[in-house]
Amino acid sequence: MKKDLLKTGGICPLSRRSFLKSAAAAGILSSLPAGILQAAEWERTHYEGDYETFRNACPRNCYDTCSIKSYVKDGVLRFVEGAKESTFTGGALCVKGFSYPRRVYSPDRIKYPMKQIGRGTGNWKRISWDEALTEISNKILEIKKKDGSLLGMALDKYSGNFGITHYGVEGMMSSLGYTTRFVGTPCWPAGIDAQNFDMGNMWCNDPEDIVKAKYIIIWGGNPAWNSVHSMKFVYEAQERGAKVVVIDPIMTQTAAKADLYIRIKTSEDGSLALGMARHILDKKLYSKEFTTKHSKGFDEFAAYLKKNVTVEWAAEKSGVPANVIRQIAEEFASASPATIWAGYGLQRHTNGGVNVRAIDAVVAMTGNIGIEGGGARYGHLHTWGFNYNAMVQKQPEGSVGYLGKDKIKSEFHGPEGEAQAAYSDRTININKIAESILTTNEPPIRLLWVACKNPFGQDFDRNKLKKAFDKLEMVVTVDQFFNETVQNSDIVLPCTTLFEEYTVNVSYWHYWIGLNEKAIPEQYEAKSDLQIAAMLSKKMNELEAGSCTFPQITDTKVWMEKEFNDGIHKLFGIESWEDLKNGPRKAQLPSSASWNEMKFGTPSGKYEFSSDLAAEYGHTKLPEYKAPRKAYDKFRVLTPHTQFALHSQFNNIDIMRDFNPEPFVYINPAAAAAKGIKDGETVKVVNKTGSVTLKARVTDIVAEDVLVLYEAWFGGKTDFNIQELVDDESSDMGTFKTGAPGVALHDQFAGIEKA
Amino acid sequence: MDSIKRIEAFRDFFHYGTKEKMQEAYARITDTECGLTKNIDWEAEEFLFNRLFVGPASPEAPMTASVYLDPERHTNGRITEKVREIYTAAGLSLSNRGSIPEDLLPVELDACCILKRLAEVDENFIELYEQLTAMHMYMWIPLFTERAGSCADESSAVMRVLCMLDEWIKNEVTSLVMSKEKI
Ligand code: SF4
Repeated sequence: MKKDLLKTGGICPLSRRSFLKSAAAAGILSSLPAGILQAAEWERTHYEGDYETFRNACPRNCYDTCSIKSYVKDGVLRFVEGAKESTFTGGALCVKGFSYPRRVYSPDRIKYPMKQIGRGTGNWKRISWDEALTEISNKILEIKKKDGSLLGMALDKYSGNFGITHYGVEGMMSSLGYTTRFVGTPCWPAGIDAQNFDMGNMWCNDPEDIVKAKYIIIWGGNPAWNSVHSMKFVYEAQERGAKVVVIDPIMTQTAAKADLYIRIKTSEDGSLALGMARHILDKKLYSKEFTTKHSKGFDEFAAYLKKNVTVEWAAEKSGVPANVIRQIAEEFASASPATIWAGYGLQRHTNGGVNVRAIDAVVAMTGNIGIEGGGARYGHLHTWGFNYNAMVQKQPEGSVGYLGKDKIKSEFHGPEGEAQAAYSDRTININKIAESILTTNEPPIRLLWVACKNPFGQDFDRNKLKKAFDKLEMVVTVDQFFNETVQNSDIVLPCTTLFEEYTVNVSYWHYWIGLNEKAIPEQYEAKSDLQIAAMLSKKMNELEAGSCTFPQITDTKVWMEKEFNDGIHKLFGIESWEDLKNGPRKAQLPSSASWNEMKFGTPSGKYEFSSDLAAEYGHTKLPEYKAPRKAYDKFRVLTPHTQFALHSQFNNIDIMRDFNPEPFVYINPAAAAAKGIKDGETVKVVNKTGSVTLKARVTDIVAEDVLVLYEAWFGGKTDFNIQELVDDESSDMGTFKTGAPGVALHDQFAGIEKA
Repeated sequence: MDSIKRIEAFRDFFHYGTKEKMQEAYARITDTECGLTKNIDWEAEEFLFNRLFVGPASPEAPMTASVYLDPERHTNGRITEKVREIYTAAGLSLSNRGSIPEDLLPVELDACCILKRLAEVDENFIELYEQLTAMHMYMWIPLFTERAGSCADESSAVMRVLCMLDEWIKNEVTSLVMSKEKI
């Protein structure tokens, strides 16, 4: 019976096997292109021991929505791998995905409901779920009594967990009454509207069909970091002879893999696209068939180009030499199929939506819409037709709400509870949270519920947001880890990871569906969003019968089952959700090309170079040039996604910190020299919104007038917060489909000095 | 004080994390009447306890053995597994298996109490107690108390308990070694 712990389980040097099991190594290997060395097949085929396996799906706000196979022994999640059944996930995860077991078992997880005595003091008390829910319920009842409605309670939720059942948080709010909702989306609304004006919907080709493309332009996106699984298809296309061009203000890792990298002046994507269009027009390289048969307004667009655009003008505006514009225009128009992947970065501007329209126009006029391997790729929501059963809840009898015409809008589903009701929720632009909390009255927002979001990490103008939070009477945050939002909360409720609940996931990029099974018990006292809603409902009804209609079901499997319907079964060729236990399934599509039948969703049923609907929403009918936001400081500030985190998630995981220990500002050598800044020196970046102090990295991956700081909260000992430098200026589009415009978060400017 | 009762008191101090339970356990650990600890600000002790061991911010000294012993700082990895094996050998398992790691301090202290009781009736359990204390807890508790101690006010009750816990594990292992030498 006796075993010597030190001999059998103590410290031993890393073996080769354990090196390969290292999450970071796995993430790097999974994104290797073909070359002399290739990543070995994962050790996925023969694990020793009796593992139970489960199906999971990564619910992060990531293009890839990976299908995961999880290995559990003794009730412990031992390791994860990408599902082999999905040709998109292809058996591998990214570095973040492979780190999941460390995230689940991190000693830093929030373990119990806790209450802060004095917001921001750091004085936390452990409380029971009953105490937490009683305090929250009493506050809700107090607000109802004081205001005569529950509009003083607001929800701030977005993309922290895209599991379909997590829309139960919205359901929880409805089940309490008419409340205040932050609507819209910070991420991609300008591009969504642009594609809706042009084509009548946002609908991209299957990303796996990019292998068929002969010419690929990746424009304002960095999939080598942010969609690693897509890169294997890009590499395959390259191997088959496709040319890959990356257009970006930053020399990204994706750019490094391209055949041609074009540095563009930020926010001048429209001028470059229009310059390309003009050259294609002059050279008569456009598709007569597409422009005459399948489009509306091409002649007006051509007339606009002839009158207003020259290649030289485009070169001057965009910073891309005229000969390069001509070259890529001709190459793109001559290759078939040719495709442009429009990244979300390029539409986060005051002219972002119209710039996407100009890019769409280049793809359309060359006849690359509706064909396999072609397309103006941005995203899609064609596989999201679930029941949203958890989300659709009735307000309690006699609830009083807002008498305006507001309707909840979200890019992921139709208006919530659109049945004719006398009252509605009060909707506020999600991108103006700070301003809205400070200025909204009658009634003011008193109680804020935060779920699936870290507003202090993601929302704009951190200093204004702090003032806004100070105005709130109570802040409840549901999260897995401590962050600046929790720091500014009164009560924090611990929530489960994906491995501790059932749900189902689909992607806004690929066409697979993945089941998410409960693989391990809830950690410590963590609960899923749905369990919290059910428990709150129970408590509310104990305190005041009939005050909450949310079903008191705490089994997340029951909720997951209710999301499936015949449409989903048919689309994915399954009899029931149980089929997904055998692995993820792909939508059965007649073609990998979107718009393959050339039946567009626009009012004319055609591709609309000229859109009356765009004009109705205050934009130009044609994708005309719109000048960028005027600079308000010396350097442009770009704050793109980092490789080792997804917004503020994963940043705090210890192994990520090994690779990504601190934030940097990246500055061009000439600009650094002019300021006397050396590599590694501490600098202060300041603008009208705030300031951050951090080390400089001197590099020519950025242009001379640009500073790059990777976004999100870095946790640990640093108080770095990129939102110190980002104001809440709106992008041009977004109102049509998502209820509010996006944020021009790459139209920011600042100065830099040695600290 | 009976040694099992003392371990139980340590267990309770670290398990519940509320000021009432901490105060009550502290009285047992220090063998004082609750009334004699009146000068302690238990609310401040509770805040300190959470800052050090619980959260919600990253605890400064997590009370999990893996944090100190696992070469890859992996909680619920090999160290936890070894502790679980000891429990299994003794016929023990967590009632909420998989929800918390087996190498959490109050869980290990609870196992100590049970193994000590079992050892009173069956000396085979002495070996398991030795494995848990001498070969495992002794390896990490001093590291834990040192890290926590460096972040705590020296005059705090939490600090006093940490010192007593450190002293307890050292004495316990010394007496185990001495009893072996006698044999
Ligand atoms: S973050 Fe993205 S790429 Fe990484 S595992 Fe999740 S879905 Fe896959």
